[in-house]
Amino acid sequence: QSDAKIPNDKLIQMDNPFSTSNNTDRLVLVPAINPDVTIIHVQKADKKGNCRIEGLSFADVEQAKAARHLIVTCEQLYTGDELKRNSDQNQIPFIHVDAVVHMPHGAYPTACYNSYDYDPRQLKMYARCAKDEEAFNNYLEQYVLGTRDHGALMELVGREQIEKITADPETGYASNLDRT
Amino acid sequence: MDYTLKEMMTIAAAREISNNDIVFCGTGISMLAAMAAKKINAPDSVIFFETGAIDSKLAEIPLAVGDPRVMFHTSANGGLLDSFATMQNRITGDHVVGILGAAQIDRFGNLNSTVIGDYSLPKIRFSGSGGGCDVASFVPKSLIFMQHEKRKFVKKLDYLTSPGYLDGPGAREKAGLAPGGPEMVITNMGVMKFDETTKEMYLHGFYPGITPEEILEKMEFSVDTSRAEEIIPPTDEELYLLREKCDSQRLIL
Repeated sequence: QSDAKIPNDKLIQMDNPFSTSNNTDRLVLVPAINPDVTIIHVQKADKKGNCRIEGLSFADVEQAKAARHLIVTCEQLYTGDELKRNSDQNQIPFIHVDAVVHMPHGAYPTACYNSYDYDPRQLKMYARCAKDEEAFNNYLEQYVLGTRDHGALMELVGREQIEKITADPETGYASNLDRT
Repeated sequence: MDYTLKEMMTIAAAREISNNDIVFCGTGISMLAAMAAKKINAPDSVIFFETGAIDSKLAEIPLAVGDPRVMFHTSANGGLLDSFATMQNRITGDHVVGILGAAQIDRFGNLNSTVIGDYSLPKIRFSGSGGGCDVASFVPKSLIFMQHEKRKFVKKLDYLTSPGYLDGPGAREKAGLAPGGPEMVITNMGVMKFDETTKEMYLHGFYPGITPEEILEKMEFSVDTSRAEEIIPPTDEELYLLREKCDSQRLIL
């Protein structure tokens, strides 16, 4: 392998240094991953960089904290210190964060719990286009290169479609959305 | 036949899940099977996902394991570590049933979901283990979904992604893996199990309209068919609950 940042071994086995503990003679070690840059999208962040994720964090918090640089995009940006109240709901303190970008619908066309659902129409179109070189280039041209920013992409998708995928406060997604 | 083979497969898996089980499932037919079990025969079973959702209600079928539908009405919304810790925890881990799939399987239930061809110069590169190897290594019982094809039931895997019974009796223990292993392989033609003594795959059952001979034709290796019986087709109630209460938009079915 050529990349010096990636170790050749996926894992190494060693003798259990705690001998009698864990009922095992051998342990497996895996190398740490430190991304140069991690970009994550969260529901709430403040200007200092404190982050509040609603729903599953999956591996976002670990990926965020392991990175040399962290860029956070958010649905809601707080200019004051509102997120310092109920801060047990925060996962990432500002000390890890390099930049905060206010980007409503920033997870589109995938979902953001409690904010909006995934857009089945857009994902299906993408899946179709990704199978064909020409169709893929057309998709890039129209939705990625042809829109000057994320707001322009949202305009292109249209208010009606955005309405359809808006999350139901009861469930956190668009209940009974036509996903066929 | 007024049901599809996909419906038969889903029901065959759902029937294996009981109220004491904590079911780990991934995207696609495996989450549909777990959901069907909850609606049909095991309402108290617990569903969890690698993304960290534990005890999802699944009011609607999710598109994938990160869909907000898995986050609704859970006991806890954690992360990847919580999910894998649930499997490795020796108290909860003993109740976990994993549902897996793969590109290739061998007679000991070992799985390949990494490459077809040489690892460095693959003909096809798949997404890899994901959580598959963890599930196969740590949970006492796993159900495996496969399509019955010669190139999928192979004598030798192109790559070992997730352990079944490795090379036979005692091999899991020797490798330091948790006891147990694959319980059954559910395909579009029937159900395979593993012999208690030899740990080798055998034909446990075949779906109505399909013969053991037809199944053997779709495999590179041969298996014992002497114990095989016809599997009971889905009942009207099972089909109703699957179609109307689990996947009414036919997203997976």
